[in-house]
Amino acid sequence: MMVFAIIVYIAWLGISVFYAMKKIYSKFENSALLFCVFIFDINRSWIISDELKIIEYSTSPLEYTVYIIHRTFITPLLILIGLNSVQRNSHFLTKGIAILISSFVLILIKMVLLSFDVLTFHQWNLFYDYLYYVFLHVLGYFILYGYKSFVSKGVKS
Amino acid sequence: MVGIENFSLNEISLIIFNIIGYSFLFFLPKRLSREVKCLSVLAGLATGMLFDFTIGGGILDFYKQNDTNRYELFDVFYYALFGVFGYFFMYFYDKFRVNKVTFIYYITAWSIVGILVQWLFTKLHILTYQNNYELAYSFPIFLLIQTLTGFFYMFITNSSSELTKES
Repeated sequence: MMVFAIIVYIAWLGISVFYAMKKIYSKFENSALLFCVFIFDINRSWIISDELKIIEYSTSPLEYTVYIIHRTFITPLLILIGLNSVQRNSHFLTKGIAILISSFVLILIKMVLLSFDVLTFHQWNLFYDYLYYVFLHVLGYFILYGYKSFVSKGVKS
Repeated sequence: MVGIENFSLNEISLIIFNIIGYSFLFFLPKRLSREVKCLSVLAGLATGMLFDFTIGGGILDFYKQNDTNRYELFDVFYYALFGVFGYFFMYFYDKFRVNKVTFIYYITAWSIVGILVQWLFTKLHILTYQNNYELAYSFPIFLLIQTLTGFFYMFITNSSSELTKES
């Protein structure tokens, strides 16, 4: 029950922080980013957990709900918060440091899931997860670049 | 993960539905801005995948897509159709100039369309219910998700009208 309370609070905190924060990107960009990151991450989690069985999730209903909340809300929202916390025209290094910090926060949350046995790693470790989260942030920047180049080209935002 | 388990009616139906759906998407008279069009497809894909990966898999596993419970190539074709439905939802929302009152009819109508399409998918063996799941259970899901999509459409289009006023 403890892990459920913690994860619900983190998810609520993520939604609240994202709602309250000064967003660098427009509603359109943030929506596109949220959907794309979500689509990518949900497919990745399915392939890693249900197909390849590299990461095993608990089959207890409450702990499975925790896994679903983490996958559905926490990961995409924290990526969004991470990308929105750095100015568009910031130096490459600043963006890089922000990505590393944001990925570290995601790893801390993953550690909570591991410590409560919501997840069990097989042939997987936190470092791979850290690399994946860094990749997810970088993917976010590519999505924003693609969106700006192909979708909002010529549209004032 | 499997490629194609058994190329039959469900795979052929999905190819046809995708060709028809995406043809409409590209050739219907232009109503939505490029930004709204992109988000409508993404919103459709995301909501479809959310429910299919949550109740259609995992420990609930209420239905099977195509021939196996595993991720197969034609599952991607199935998910791609959600993008088309997302686009049609926002296209007709704009075309019918849905307001607060007609919103009720619009969402109800789309939920019935959703149920009919899902029924058709079960007949074509694109979806197979399991673990005591029934078609009627999908109705509240459609009702909820389409109401949220309607709110999302209002949210993004209000912002675009504000932007137009500002510019």
